[in-house]
Amino acid sequence: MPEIKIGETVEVAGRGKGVVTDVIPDEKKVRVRLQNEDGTETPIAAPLSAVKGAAKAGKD
Amino acid sequence: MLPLSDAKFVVVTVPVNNAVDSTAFTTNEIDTVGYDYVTIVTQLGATDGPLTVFRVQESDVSGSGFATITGLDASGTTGDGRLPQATDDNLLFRFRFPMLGRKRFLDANITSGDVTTGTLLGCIAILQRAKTSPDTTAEAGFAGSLTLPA
Repeated sequence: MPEIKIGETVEVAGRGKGVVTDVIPDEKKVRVRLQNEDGTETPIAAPLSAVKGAAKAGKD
Repeated sequence: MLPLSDAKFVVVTVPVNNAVDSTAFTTNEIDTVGYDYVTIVTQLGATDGPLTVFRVQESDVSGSGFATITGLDASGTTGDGRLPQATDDNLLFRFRFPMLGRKRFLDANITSGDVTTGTLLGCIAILQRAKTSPDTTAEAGFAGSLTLPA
């Protein structure tokens, strides 16, 4: 599994893209601030297995 | 008195089947600003394995720094404070606590155990004792609402 870093843009399966705000290795989770289409943000916690890996910002 | 009329509902986990061993459910963070009491309700569906983590965490800031709240960390296999078990299909579990002395942001940490078909569950938070009552359906956390007069 690729290393995920804070500040990186990732895609969470079923939820969309967002910026990683925390990585919690003990819980095998990351915290991601999802960027919604209406400009709002949704902070979530997701398992590493749901993170599709680093997604380049601005790339579909 | 209709206490839930002044409540805000927050989706924590959409109903989903987690069929991967020892994997956390994806959860939405809960911003409790403006509310002084929280109830987190988890509804189990069919499950063939116990949860291994079932607890509430808090942080002063959104997105990081979460730590488990003492007393809101389920353990064991029996009693009210147990981890949901494989035999707890279709039952409800709750955490409830005042926000006095608590940090603003909450999260439910829910992790599946050893499963074959999976664990189906959904989770919501009900925020009560509002400083200012929600004025609209959306502010109360709903996409739709129908009401008859009391």
